[in-house]
Amino acid sequence: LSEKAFVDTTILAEVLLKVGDSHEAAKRALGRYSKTLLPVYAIKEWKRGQFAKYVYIHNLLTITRSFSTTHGRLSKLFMRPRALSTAHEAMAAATLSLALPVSFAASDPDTELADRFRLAFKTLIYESWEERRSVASATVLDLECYREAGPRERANGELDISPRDCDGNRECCLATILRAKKDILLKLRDSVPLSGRQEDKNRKEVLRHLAVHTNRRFEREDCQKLGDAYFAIFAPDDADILTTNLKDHLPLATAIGKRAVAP
Amino acid sequence: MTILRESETTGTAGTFLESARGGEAKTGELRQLPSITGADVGSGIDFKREAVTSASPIPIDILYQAREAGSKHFDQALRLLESASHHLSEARRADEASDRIGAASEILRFEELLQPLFECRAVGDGFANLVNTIHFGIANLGGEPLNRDQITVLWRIVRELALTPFLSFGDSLKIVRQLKKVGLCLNNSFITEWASEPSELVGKSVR
Repeated sequence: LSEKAFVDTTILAEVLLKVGDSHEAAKRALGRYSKTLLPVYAIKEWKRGQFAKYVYIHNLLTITRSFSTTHGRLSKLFMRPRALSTAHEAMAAATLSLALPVSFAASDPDTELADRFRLAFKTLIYESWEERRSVASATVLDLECYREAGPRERANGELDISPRDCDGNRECCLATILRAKKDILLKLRDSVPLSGRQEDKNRKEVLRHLAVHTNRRFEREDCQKLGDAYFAIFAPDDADILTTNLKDHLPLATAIGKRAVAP
Repeated sequence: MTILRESETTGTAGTFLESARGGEAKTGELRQLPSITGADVGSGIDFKREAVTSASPIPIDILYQAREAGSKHFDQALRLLESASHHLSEARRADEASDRIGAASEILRFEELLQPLFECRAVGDGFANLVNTIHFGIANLGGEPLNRDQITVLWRIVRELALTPFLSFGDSLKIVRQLKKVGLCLNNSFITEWASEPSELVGKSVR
């Protein structure tokens, strides 16, 4: 284990909004390093992914004022099996039962449950945003074309987290730095497995474009497609890439002589 | 905006303040008022007694909120908070006397009040958020009895809430942090799983 860890998005998500063994393991892993570095790229990915999902759920609960309607829409969006969908609804009520069950003598239990979860999500959203830069000992590598804007409440109670993405009117601020690392880009391209997954195909393609087609404009979508490759490229040589997704990170890191470690 | 004449406004704010602060706030300020939907409204609305006696009229929207504060939800919330505070005080006393059953019984009475307290959520989002977080926090203990620190923090928070039920959502977050410090956490595996897609649950994609 090195002294320094370069923290990836999965660790950030695990620490900020998850619970249980994997959450505890991620926190313990961070504690083992004397220095932990969180790149702003991880914050950007987290905000686009897990964080945006929480905001979407909050907004659904706010608009529908119905737990069951929100739940139905989420089940379809996440393509959950029907049996699991039903179980979730029962679990939502069970999760709140104390000495007495949640009072379904309430005039509208569906609205009440929606209100309870709306508040819970709102709290988790604001708290996780507040804590994002405290997860690691330092937040590094700011992105010039990305504005780290937090949640804002609209008049109807919905939360607005725009902009989710970088400024699309200009070339990605990483383009010049990346193009200067042609050898690394090619090694990384060759290390991406031919898995058939869209994520891998995209990564391979964008690494090739960067290395070979240097005149092609590097768009914000390309920056998103880099994904795990970003961490391999920008991790300091003396740092471990700390991730829960070793399967994707390990081949990339190994290809350029770096280390990826799971909690 | 409709503006009432001074003669129609004086007295209302004072009465409301006395009610909200247990009669201690004769010259105090009114900070956060609830809307009819329970959502937060602007913070930092300051009433001073001098202002009431001046020529400045009080806008109808502020008065309307003050009237809302006198609603049955508000009265009920204050009664329940008083009762909750009593049970937590008794639980503390019992705990100090090493009377575990006595403490657990008082906590049980306190837990029974959380549901009716949440039904008073029209008081405001800050109030509702605190009651809800306490409810989640205790439920997430999975039946473990509350320890002394947790009882004390709850006791302190409930007493504070009885004095300032109109706290903003933002202010409620500061108190949520106090609950988290003693292990009364809002997040749980249901929320995590409900908000996750299958690939995230196995620690893979976050995109």
